[in-house]
Amino acid sequence: MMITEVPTALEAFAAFEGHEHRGSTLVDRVTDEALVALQELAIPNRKTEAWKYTPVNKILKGSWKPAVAGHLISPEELDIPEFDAHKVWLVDGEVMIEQSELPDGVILCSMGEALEKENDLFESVYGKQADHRKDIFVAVNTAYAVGGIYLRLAKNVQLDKPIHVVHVYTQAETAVCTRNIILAEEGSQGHMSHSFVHLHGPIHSNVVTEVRVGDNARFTLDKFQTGLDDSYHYSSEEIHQGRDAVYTQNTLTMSGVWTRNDPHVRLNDQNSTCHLNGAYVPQGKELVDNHSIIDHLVPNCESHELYKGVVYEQGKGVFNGKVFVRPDAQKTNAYQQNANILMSADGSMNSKPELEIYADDVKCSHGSTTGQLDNEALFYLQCRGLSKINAKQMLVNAFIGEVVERLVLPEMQEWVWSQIEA
Amino acid sequence: MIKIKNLHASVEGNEILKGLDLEVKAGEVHAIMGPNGSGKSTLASVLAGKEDYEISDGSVEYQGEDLLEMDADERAKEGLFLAFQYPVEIPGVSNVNFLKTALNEIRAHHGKDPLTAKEFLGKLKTCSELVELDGKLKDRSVNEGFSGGEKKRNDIFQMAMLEPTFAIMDETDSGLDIDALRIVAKGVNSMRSSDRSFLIITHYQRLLDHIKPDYVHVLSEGRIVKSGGPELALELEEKGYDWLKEGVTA
Repeated sequence: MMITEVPTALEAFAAFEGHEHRGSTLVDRVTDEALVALQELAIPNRKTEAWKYTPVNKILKGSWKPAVAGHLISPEELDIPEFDAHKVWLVDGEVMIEQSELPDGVILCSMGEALEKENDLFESVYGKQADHRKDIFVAVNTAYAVGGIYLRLAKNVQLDKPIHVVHVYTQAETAVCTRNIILAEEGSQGHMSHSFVHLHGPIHSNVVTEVRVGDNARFTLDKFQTGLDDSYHYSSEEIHQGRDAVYTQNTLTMSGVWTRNDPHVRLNDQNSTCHLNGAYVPQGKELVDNHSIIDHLVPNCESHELYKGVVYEQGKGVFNGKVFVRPDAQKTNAYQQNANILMSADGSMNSKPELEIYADDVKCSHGSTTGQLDNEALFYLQCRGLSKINAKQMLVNAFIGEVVERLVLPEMQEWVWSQIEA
Repeated sequence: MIKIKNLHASVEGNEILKGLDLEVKAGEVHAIMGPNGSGKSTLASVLAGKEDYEISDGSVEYQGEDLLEMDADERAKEGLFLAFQYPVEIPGVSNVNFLKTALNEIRAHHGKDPLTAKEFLGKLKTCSELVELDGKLKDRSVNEGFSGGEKKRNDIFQMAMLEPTFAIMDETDSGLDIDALRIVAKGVNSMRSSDRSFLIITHYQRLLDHIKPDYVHVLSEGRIVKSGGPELALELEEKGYDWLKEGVTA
């Protein structure tokens, strides 16, 4: 076996020298810490548990360039879900907020602006939830973030319609890191959807979002991911929930050669609930990895996870669902389900529920199934006149529909169906 | 309507049909009876187009076409219908939506426009009343959580909706209570016509009290060993199947 010199992540992003994320004393300090981490952290390989099935060499050995600002897009040519929303564009990280009247108490701006206008709140969250010292992709994001969205919902404010953040990546061979903050203050309610469009590959997008859902607040985050044969997408959400808070995240991965989703939820105060839903349909040689962590720290909280995948051709799916129930977290209800259908003999699925339970009065369940399309059901539908292809599609839709139906707006569901059936 | 000649079919190397001959003409109702393992359900599956079977010899001509060359859905589009011995549960697929898709796919095959919502709903109402199918069942997932009798009635309901030319009932009566049996029979009887044929596969004579066949055939060890009129069914009920087996081997 040949042993080659493994470069550090810092070397992989050498072209970013001089493009580090700077802003305030705090931002600069966090960036410097991230740069140190990039120098010191080992690049994950197959022996790294969290990256066992998901190779990172193409990304962390890549020679990515920073994107050049000012690229134009034709919004009408982009395939994204259309629904009534406040729209924000992030073109290669550059923030453009469409003119639209926001309810009082809704602060929506770029991270740069937030650093000026909302400095205390910004700094109370930034780098506090996402761990740039331990996680290599978070470190990359922290060191080189170019833009991102800041949303704050003031106390008891209700957002009238969703905020739709459209991430468009236009330049080949670039890596674009964006960083977002969502602050839903006590009693507020809001909904944000992120659509990702990758136009020219190879391309790497890395999005880290720190979310704080205050006491009795409700927040929903959707992610609609589409990509190219050579788009590499990483995203992570670091969510902290307060008392009686409800957080829902729907992650729908329609395409993209390499996608890794890392939602991490901390249930910090009692009676909070989180729902993580995911659907993914890797095909060709695509890989989709959903790696969630839900941490129950206090009593009386609930978590629900439902991830469903249909793997076509030589696609690869990975699910790893870690749930911690800490010693104090009595009366926890934690439910996790991952179900998959393999549509070909060449596809693969690695599913790993990981429950660590340290409290004794809890209800936790997990289920993981991977199988094929039910041939009896297929024959039944064909016997009623459905062509094989339509019958298969009907069964796939029924399977994945359990997740798609959880999207709040019918327009979103329709768009997801159009992508799945394409 | 359908001409089966010297049909040989095997599954995983075991020959189950061993030279079966049968002809059903338009408007006729044929019953096939036989002991367990005689090949009754295999015949139904082979005619419907299940892929697990290997046809080693023989032919099936359906309305002048080679049936064995068609995929299962083409057979359905050409008017063949199979009521299943064990209708499968399909979670997440709505009974009504699936029927609508099937019906319109069949119509498209014959160059017809899809039914309007009004036409479809009208048909739905008539057909579900025919088999006394609870309105709620129509909206549920296909057969999910249905009782045995409800599943069979749902199959007959689908048959009424799709209006096939040749319907095969694979032990539709097995496990049914007398009320369900009566409803199923009513559905079939109301659909009898001069251009529609039925092949009724059953283990028990009881069904034939409710659906009067024109011909009764006995299937044993993969072949039709005896054919006759409805009176043959009564004879089988009385004597069982053993005397026939002896007759074959002798």
